Amino acid sequence: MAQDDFDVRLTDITKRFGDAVAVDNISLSVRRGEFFSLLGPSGCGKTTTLRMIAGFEHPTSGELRIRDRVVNNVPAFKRETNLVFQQLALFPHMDVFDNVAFGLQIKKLGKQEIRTRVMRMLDVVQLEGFDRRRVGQLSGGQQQRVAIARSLVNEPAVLLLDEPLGALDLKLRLQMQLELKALQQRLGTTFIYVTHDQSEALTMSDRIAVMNRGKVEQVDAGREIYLRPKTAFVARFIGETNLIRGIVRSCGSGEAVIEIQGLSLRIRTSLPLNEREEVDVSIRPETLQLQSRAEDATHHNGAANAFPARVTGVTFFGSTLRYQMTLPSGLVVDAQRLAGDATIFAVGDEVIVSVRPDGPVVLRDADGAGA
Amino acid sequence: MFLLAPGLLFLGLLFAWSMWIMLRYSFYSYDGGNLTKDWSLESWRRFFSDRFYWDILWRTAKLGFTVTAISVLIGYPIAYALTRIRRQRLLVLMYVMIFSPLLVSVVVRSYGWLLLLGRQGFVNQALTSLPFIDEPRRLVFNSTGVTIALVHILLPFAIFPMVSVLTQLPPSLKEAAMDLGATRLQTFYKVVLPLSMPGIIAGAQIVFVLSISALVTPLLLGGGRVFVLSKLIFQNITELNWPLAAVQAFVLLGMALIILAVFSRLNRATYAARGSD
Repeated sequence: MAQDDFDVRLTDITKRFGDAVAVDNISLSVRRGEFFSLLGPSGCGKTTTLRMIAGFEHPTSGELRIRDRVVNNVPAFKRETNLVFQQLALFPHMDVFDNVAFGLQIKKLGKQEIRTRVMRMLDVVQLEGFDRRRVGQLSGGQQQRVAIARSLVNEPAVLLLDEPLGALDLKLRLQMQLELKALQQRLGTTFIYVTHDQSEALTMSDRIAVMNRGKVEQVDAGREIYLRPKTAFVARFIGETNLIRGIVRSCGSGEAVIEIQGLSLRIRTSLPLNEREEVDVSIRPETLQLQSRAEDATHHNGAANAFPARVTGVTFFGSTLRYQMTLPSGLVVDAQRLAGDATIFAVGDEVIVSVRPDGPVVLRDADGAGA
Repeated sequence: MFLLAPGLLFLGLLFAWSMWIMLRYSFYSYDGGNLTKDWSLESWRRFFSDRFYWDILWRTAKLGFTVTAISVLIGYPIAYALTRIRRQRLLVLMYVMIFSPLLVSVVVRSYGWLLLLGRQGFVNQALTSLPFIDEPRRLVFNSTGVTIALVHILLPFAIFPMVSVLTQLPPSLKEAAMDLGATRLQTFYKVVLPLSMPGIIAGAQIVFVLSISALVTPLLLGGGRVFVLSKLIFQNITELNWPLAAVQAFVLLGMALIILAVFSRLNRATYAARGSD
C-alpha cells in the first residue's frame, strides 16, 4: 500500500502525562476519505489520540503523520486538520457568519471568496438564512451544524470530531448521525470520530478502532467487529454477549471442540489453538436457537451443539425477547429471539438450546491475542 | 426579595436623603464666610463660569483616565497570569500580594510612598545610579506621585473583575481559534480580548470612579500642588462654603455617571453578539 492512500498514520504512538500512560504504543492508519471511529469507554485514550492528531497534545514517543508529513511537533494552527469540539466552542461574541468565516479570515482570503464559501457551507449544513443569527439564539442541533460548518469550510484534509453529538437528545442525535454520514460521503473528507457510544460508531463508520486502557484492541469494519471480535473486551463492549471460559479439547482444520462445564461445543475458528489451552468463548444471544424439548425430541438429541436447558427468565424488549436459560451444570446464558416467533417460551419451560458452529467466537486472553 | 429589602431600604433612603440635602445646600447663599438659607443660583453660576473650575474638572478627569488606563494595562496581564497558575498555594500567595495594599491604612501607605519617591528615596537612588540619569526626578508633590499611589491602591479593583471574566472563559475557545489557524497572538486579539471586555470595562469603571473621588492620596502625595475636585470640595467644606461644595459634589457625581454610562455603552457594543446564552 502506498503511503499516499493514508491521510493519518500513527506509528508506535505513546502519550504519558507524568506517570500516567494515556496512550500506550498504538499504531493506526486512517485511509483517505474514510469515516473512522475511535471507540472505547471513558479514559481509554481515544480523546488523547484525537487531540494528538489535532495538535493539542504532542506524542511522548512514536511517529504521527498527516498526509505524509511528520507532524509530531507541528502546532495545531499549522495542521491540515480541524476539530469539532465536544463543547462545540463556538465564539459567543460572533454571529453565525463570523464563526464560520473565522478560519478563512485568518488565512486572509478575499472578502468575496469568504462570503461565497461561508454561504455555500451554511447551505451544506442546512443553515441558510441563519448567517446573522447570534450563536446563543440557536438550538443545540443548529449550534452543532455551525460547529461542523466552521471546521469544514476550511476544507481540512481530516475532520476530527470529539463526541460532538453527546449533548443532544436521542432523537436529534440519531438524525445528526445520518446527516453526518451523508455529509462525509458527499464531501469525501476523511473523518475521525471519537465516541463511547457503540451504536453511534456502528451507524456511521467505515472502520472502527476499539480502544481500551490506552491500547487499540481491534481495528475493523463495524460488522467484523461485531461478528468476529478479536478480544474478550471487544466482544463485551460491542453489543451483548455470553462470555464463557472453556478448555480446548481438540482442534484442527478450521474447527475446534471447546469444553465448557462438561459440555462440548464445536466452533469454527481459524485461531491456532493448542489442546488444553484455556480460552474465552463469546456467544451472541441472537445466535442461540431454542426448541421445545417435548416436540421432536429424537431429532435434536444427537445433533451437535444442542443442550437441554430450562427457561429461568423472560424479558420483553418490544421487537425482541430475552430468555435467561439455566443449563443442568448451573451455567446461565442469555438468548435473544424475535417477539414474533411462532413459539414463545415461559419461565419453567424445558428447552433444547443449540448454536451453529459458526455462531460463537473463540477468544484468547488479551495478552496472547497479538496476532 | 425579602432578604434584600432591609439593605436596599437603608441604602436607598440614605442616598435619596443625602442627595436631597445636598441639592438644597447647592442653592443656598454664601457671602463673606457666612452661610445663609437664601435661595440663589450663585454657586452654580460661579462654578460653570469660572475657567479655574473647568480646569480643575479637566485635571480630575485626566487623573482618573491616567490611573484607569495604567491600572487596566498593568492589571490585565496580572489577571491573565493568575488564571494560568495551577498551584493552589502560589495562587493564594499571589492574591494576598495583590490585595495587600487594601490591608494598610491610607495614611501609612501614603507616607510609605513619600519615603520611597522622595528626593533621597529609594526610587531616586536607584534611578540616579543609572548611567543616563544624573539628577533625582521629582516624583512626589506632583501628579506623578499621586498617579503612582492611586494605581497602587486601585489595582486590585481592576484585577478582580478581569480575573473573574477570564476564569469563566472556556479553554476550548482558545483551542478552537488555534485549531482554525490562529496563532497565539491572533487568538488573543480575536477571541480572548473581546471576550474579556466585560471584565476590563467593569474594572475600569470602578477604578475611574474611585480615582476621581480619592481625597487623602492626592492631598498627601500632591503636597498641596495637585488640585482635584475632591480637594476643592474638602476645602470649601472646611471654609463653610457648603453651597459651592455641594455644586462641586454634584459635578463630580455627574462626571462619574457620564463615564459609567459611556463604559456600559461600550460594553454593550463589544458584547452585542453574545446573545442570550
